[in-house]
Amino acid sequence: MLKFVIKRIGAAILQLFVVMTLIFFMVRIIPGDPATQILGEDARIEDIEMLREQMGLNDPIPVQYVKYLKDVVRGDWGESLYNNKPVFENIRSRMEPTILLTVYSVSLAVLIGVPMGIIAAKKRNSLADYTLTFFSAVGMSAPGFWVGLMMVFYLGVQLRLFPTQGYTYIADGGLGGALYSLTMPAVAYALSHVSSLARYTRTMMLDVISNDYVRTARAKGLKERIVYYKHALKNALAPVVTNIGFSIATLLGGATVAETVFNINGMGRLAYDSLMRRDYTQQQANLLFTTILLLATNILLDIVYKMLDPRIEFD
Amino acid sequence: MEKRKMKPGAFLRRYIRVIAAGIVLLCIFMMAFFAPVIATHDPMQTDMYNMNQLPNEEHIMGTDCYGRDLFSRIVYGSRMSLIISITVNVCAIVIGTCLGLLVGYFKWADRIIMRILEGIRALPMIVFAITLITVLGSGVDKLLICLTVVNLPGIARLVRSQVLSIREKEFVECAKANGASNLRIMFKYILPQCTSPLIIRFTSGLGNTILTQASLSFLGVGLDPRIPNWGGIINEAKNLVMIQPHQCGYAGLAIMITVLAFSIMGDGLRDILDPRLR
Repeated sequence: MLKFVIKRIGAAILQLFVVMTLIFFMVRIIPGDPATQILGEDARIEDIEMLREQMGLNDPIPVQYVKYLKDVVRGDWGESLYNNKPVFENIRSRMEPTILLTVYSVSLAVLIGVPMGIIAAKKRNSLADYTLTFFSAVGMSAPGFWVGLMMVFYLGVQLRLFPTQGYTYIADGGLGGALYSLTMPAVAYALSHVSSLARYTRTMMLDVISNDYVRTARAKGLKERIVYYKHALKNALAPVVTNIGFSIATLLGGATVAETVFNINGMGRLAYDSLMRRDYTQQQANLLFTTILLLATNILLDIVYKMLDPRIEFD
Repeated sequence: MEKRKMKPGAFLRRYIRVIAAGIVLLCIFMMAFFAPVIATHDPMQTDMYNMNQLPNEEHIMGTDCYGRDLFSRIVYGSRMSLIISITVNVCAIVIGTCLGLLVGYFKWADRIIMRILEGIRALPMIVFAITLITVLGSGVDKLLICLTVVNLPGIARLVRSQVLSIREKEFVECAKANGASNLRIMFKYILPQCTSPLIIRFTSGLGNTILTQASLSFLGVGLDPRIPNWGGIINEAKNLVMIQPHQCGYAGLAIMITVLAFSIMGDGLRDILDPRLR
């Protein structure tokens, strides 16, 4: 187990290194001069020169690259070109709604989707199964931002069930208030993940119960309930855990869209705003930080996977 | 594995989804192709006297905030969605398959190319996409590049896993013993074995790309908002959603129906081509 964890973390660090390289070169492929891009065509030459110096653009690329890697590893992620604050401070002030929204939607998706998939597999080829399969296909096809907007109108404006805009911070409204203000975005964005998790769980359950050991368990006279929920479920859920990681990645990365619909000042909005302001140091940090969060969750989920199914070898 | 006998009517049940989805898709493709005939108005024609009209006889889906006919914009919008989605998926499948064959077949390529692709996969997709487009500059060509790059890692991984299992098979060994070149083995012997998963991936990829592209247009990134496209229509109507939800409603339905048809098509094909998976 320890060996698995160490190997997994090693792979993640390697992946992170590749990501850092990609991010570094992404900002360098801006056509023309990034400093001129940021300040605009009619900026004074001295200002552009100063910014070039500040961004370290005057050094040769390999020198810049090594310096960037060193700075990132040392924890010095630079300062925002927009408000001159350390980039990490900007991220920290925007973290709360985004992380809470992601956790909320993923929990909804898991708590609704997985049981739905189990039931659909149990009653395979019944009306319930067909209905569920069809509606999960519909749920996966609806764009989250559109579902969100429709909820704003029907649940927010017409029924006045939920606030249509903004986010109540935990410090202001407590955890309950914060969750209440995030309910609509969470449901809108959980929808497609409820559907995909339900389908995946169903497929995995069907896959597992056609195995020989399930037949053996039945043959030796175990109760169907025990065969199904004890023997089959555990093995079916192992790959589902990896799929949850995929949901988290999509939700955290897609937070920009959710936060735009519901006017939430989170990390996703920060990424969008930084790009519109051509604040590339901030955007580098945004990408890197989100990637680190994702890699960390994936390591955790892989460990859970390994615990559920010890046969898994490191690929 | 238990064997199941084919019941009478099972044939129809097996193909019904592909047929139903195919009919819907045919209608959507016809709508895109014959857009000038179907559309009742010029989709770019603004009319400041008739802004934000509710659906009526003249404008069956009403007008948007510039007085343009929404029905015509949605009809023309199908062109953009389909063209972008098909181009992106064809490019991604071709490049992704070549990369997948390469990394599956050669260890050295696996070390380098797969690492880079895994790096792209680790990035948060939408944020990465909008960053890439902002960096490259907007325009249809940039959008195509960006969406293709986003799709590559998944396809390459899919092909790679197929190659890894196929290249140990006897017929590949036999070809090798007969002196076939690596290139010949990759394209003549291994590639045909990968076609079913690739067809399934292509079909569901078409739907997914429409969704991603709509999200980007919704954020106002990528396409010129004047060109009618479904995500863009929702973006322009989003501020009015509390008063006139139908403006967003119709365009969203168009996206949903198209994506749904592609995904049901993909599922149906999966059942036919790859009966092991359900």
